[in-house]
Amino acid sequence: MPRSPELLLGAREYTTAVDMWSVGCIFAELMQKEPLFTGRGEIDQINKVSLIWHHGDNN
Amino acid sequence: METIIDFQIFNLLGQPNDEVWPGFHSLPVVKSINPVGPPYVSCFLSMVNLTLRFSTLRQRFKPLSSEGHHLLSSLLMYDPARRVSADQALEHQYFKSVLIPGVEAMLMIRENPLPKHPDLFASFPSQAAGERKHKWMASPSAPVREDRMAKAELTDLDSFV
Repeated sequence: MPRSPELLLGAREYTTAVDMWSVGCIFAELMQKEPLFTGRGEIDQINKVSLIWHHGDNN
Repeated sequence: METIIDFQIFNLLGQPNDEVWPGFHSLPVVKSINPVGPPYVSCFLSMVNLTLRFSTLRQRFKPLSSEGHHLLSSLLMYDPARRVSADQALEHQYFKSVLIPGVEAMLMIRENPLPKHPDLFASFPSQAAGERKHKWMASPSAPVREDRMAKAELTDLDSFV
C-alpha cells in the first residue's frame, strides 16, 4: 500500500486521509500502468532517516 | 546531521511547506532531513499552488481528462486535512454520468476508459469444477511472398514449414 507523506515523515497522529493518498496512488497507477512511487527505495530511505533521527534523540 | 533525501513525492508534487501543509515543518522526520525537489511556490495563493501542482501532474498524465486531474490532485493533496475524503471522492464529477437529452433514461459515461460489460471479462478455468486449461493449437506459419521465396531460394513447400 503506498504510504502517505505524513506517515513517511513520521507523523504520530494520522487519519483515514492516509488511505485516500493510497487511493490516489492506485488511481495514478491504473492510468499510467506502473506504480507512481516505487515504494521500496523510499521506505528504505525513510527507515535510514528514522535511524539517524533516533540516534540524534539519544544524544 | 542533515541527510539529502531524493523524495519521489517531492519531485513530482514539489516541496511542501507550512502554507500548503500546515504543520509540515513540525513533522518528526522533516527536522532531520534536507529535502530536495522543486520548490512548492509558497508566496502564492493556494489556488495558484493548486494550478502549479496540477500542471506537473498534468504533464505526467496527459491522457487524463481535466476532471480526472482534479480528482487525482485532490487525492494526492499534501495536507491530510485538505485531502479529499472517500465520500467526497465518490461524489466527484469524474465518476458522474450525464443524462443525454432527448434519449429517455440513457446515461452516458464521460470518462475513458469506459466500463466493460461483465460478460466481456476474461474467464479462467475452474480447478474445482475440473476444468482444464485450453491448449492453444499450434498454427502454421504464414506463407512467404513469391519474390522473397526466390531470394532465399526456397521451394514453395519450404515456406510452410
